[in-house]
Amino acid sequence: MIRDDSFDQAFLEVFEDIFGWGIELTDEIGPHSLEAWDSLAQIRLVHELETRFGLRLPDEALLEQQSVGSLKELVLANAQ
Amino acid sequence: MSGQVGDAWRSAVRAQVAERRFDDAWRTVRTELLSGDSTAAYSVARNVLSSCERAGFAPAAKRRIRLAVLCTFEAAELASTLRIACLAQGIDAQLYVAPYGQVEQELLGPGSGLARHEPTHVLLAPTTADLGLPELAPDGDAQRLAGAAADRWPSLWVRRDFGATVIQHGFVVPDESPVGHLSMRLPGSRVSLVREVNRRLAERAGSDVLLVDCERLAARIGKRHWIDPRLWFAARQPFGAEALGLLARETAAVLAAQLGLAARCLVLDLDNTLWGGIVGEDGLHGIEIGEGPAGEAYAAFQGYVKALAQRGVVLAVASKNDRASAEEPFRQLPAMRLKLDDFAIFVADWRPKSEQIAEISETLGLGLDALVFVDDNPAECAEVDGALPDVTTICLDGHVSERVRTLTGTVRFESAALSKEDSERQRSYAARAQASELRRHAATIDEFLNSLEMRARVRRLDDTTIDRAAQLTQKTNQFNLTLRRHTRAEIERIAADPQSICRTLELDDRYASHGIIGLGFAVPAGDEPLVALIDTLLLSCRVIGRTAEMHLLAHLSSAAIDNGFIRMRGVYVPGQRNSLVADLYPRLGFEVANGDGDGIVEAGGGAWEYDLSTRGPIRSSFIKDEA
Repeated sequence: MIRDDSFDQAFLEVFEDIFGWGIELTDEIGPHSLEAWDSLAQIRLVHELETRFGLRLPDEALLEQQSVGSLKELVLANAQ
Repeated sequence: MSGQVGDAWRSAVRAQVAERRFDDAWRTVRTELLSGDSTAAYSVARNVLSSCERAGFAPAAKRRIRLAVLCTFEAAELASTLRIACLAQGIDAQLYVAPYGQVEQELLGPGSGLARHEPTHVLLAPTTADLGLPELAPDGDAQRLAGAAADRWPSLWVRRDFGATVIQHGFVVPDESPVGHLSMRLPGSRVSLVREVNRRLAERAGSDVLLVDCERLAARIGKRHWIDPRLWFAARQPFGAEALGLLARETAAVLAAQLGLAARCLVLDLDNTLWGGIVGEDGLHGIEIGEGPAGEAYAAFQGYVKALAQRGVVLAVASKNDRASAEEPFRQLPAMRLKLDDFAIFVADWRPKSEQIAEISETLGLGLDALVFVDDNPAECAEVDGALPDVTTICLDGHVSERVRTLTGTVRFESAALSKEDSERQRSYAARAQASELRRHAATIDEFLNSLEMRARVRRLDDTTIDRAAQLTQKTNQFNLTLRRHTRAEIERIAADPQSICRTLELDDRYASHGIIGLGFAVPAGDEPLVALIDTLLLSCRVIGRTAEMHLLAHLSSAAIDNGFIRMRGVYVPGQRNSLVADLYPRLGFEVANGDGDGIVEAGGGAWEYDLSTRGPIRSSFIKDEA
């Protein structure tokens, strides 16, 4: 898997499902800048990223403060 | 029809919302929620619902409940998922989510948030970890340990001063054990202890407490997917992605069954649904049933459908076929598990299926939302889905070997309790279809009613009939004057007053025994103790148009005279589907009552009275009493 337009689009859709349609996504966005990104949203993100991309994310996806960019890297690093 | 949460599905939903077709958007989402466990469907549903809310549109709900959620874990995610799953079942659940782990405090403490919420339903959702059971206890301690672990929950069920219905999640048997396969035979192993706890809960739940069999649900998706330890350690939320959706969906289905929203009739296509091939083209001996891989799969599917019928689901056929050739396999082929008399109604002609199904609904007196339709042909499914959106349509276009899974994948056939009437229902509905036939031949309605040779047993409510009575108040939507939904506990309270009159009515006719299909409660009116207020008067839709209401009123009125009442007061409370009884009381000679009947008249209803002291008991002409 590489970071191309279709990857970014799929990523955007997962975020839109969880944070609402029409959200603007940049790599810098994280829990510090998006109020709705709480621990509940974090669970949903992990669930849906794993289902969408067919992978299992490491524990740190949940435990650490993440951003859109760092989650993208985690997904790419853990994809087959 | 069931879809897939993919890009096309997402765009379709978003387009519907963008075009402000909120009803369509919610329907698209709802179908997926009823049949899939995808968390993405729930996320999309949240977006749809918040768009709806901003636009001032709310999806139609048939029941409103106040649900308190008590979890031993962080409940927010389960609660949010459950609210959406309830809405998919037609239940608007006003939620109270208790703080994490505060089960006893909330339930037992005076003035708790739960008490202030005044819930109608309380969900108790623990996990196996809460049982605190050791991996291996000495055999001699097993019963005591299991008993102590199980006791915590029933002791909470009984603390329901507010009269709420409890729904309890069962426990998942661990899939790992340090003693390996020995765990199965050691009573003190954690595996055996949890099984024993579940058994005890089931035994003590009786018919009052609703149970969700989490063990079976976890086994279905695989126990390793049930609990996600990462989420537990990070957020104190134990369930994996699939588990959350499945648990919410099934919990909502059990609630729906208790609230009388479960489907009651399965409408089946024939060709390539109950057998392989097309009987009209391939001939009686050209279709696949019973032999060969496909034939065996079709027979297994029939076997499952038959079991559904035995537990009370009414079966119907909607087939595009010549009737004679459609019936032939049932008559001629021994491999057919389903027989003609398993069906309450058999429609085989060349009309569109939506017309056939509308006729089935009308003949059986069941609302379209009580029907589930299955067909292998996507075009037929689309036709029915488009024309009759209230019918749940399941398309069996997948592998023949997986038909049972496809059918059970959509949760519409839960049942809160099985009563004797459930298994008799099939015969009773078939009798209703026959009676509709007879009505066409009978010259006058009086002759028709007489020709039915109806016999009734009207009895005082007792322990053997109270569950059925509660079930009837929950499920009856059409012939129901007051639409009062009573729990068993509420009925017990009503019946405890020596002045009140509570009667059940069982009806037999020349075709069938219908079981308990009518209910009448009369209680002293709050404002005038000498007036008997008819709190509940209802009939199952199977027997509408048989004068059974007269028979119930005859018994209520003569008992009311015996109890010293001078008048009987009947009220009509309007609802979604009970307009057919709006003028029942005036038709039976009741006179408009003085006063406003507690605001009922303003709400479109009415109040009428019948003078017992001058007119004597009401007469019933077509039904004979039987001991």
